Amino acid sequence: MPPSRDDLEISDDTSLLRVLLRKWITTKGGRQRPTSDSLLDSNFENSCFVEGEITIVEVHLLFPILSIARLRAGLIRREGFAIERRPDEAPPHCSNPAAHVVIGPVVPLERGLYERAARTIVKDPSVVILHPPTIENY
Amino acid sequence: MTPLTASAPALSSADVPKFYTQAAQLEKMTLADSAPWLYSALAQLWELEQSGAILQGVGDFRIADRAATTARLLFSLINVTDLPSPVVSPVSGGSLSIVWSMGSKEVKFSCYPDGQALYFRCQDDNVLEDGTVDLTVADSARAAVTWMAQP
Repeated sequence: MPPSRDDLEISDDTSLLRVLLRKWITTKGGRQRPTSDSLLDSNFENSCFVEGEITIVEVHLLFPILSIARLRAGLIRREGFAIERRPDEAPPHCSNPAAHVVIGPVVPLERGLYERAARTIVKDPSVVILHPPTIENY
Repeated sequence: MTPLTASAPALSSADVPKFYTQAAQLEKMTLADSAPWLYSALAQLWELEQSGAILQGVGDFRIADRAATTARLLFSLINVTDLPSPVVSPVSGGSLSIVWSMGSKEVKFSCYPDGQALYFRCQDDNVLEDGTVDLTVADSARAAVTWMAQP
C-alpha cells in the first residue's frame, strides 16, 4: 500500500538509506547512481531506513554485500513522495524497527509519471552510493 | 508461442513434436541463433524467476507470472538481431525492467504484474518519450529498439 501519510517529524534534512540490489546500480556520465528501478515498487512502498536512527554499519550487517543509496528526505518530498514509518515491516534482527520507513506517492501515480519522479530522485547529484565495507575494513 | 518455448522444461513436454512440424515456430527459434542478446535476456529472466523472494526491508522480488510472460512476448516481438545484451532487473512488487543501452541512448521496457508493458526512450539520461507497448503489434515494441540502434 502507498504511504497513508507523510511523517513530518522526519525533517527534510534527514537522510534515508535505501538498500540496493546489484542490478540497481548504473554508471551515467562517469558517476555511479541508483537506477530508477530502486524506487519503483509496484505498490508504491519503497523500503528505506532513517539514518541516525539506525547506523549504516548495521544496515550493511543486515544486508551484507549490498550497497546503500543515501537520499535526502527533502529531495524525496520534492518529487511528491511521502515518508511513512512502518516498524512492523522492518527486517528481522533490526535493532530499531521504528527506523524502517516506506517512501512513495500518497496517491498511486500513473506509471510514466512514477518513472519520471523516481528517475529525477536518483539522478540528483546529492544521492550517493555507500558500498559495503571490505572484509579488511571490518 | 515465443522463443522461450525452446527452454529445457518445454523440450521435455509432450508438445515437443509440434516444434518439428510447425515452420513458423522453427523460424522463431532460429532467431536465437542470430540474436545473442536473446540468450542473455532469457537467462537473466529465468534467474530472476528462480531467485525471486521477499527481502524484508528491501522489497518483494517474486516476479509475477504475467510480468514474466509479458517480457518473453516482448523478446519475441523485438525481431532485431544486432543488439547488445539487455539488463533484466527485478522491481519490487512483482515487476521487472529490461534496459538496452547504446551510447547516449537507452530504451527501457517495464513489465508489470497486470501484464501491461511500457517503453521509455531515453537520451543523455533523460526520458524523451514513454508509452504503452501494444503486445499485439510487433512494431510497437520494435520501434523503440530500432530508434536506439540508429546512429
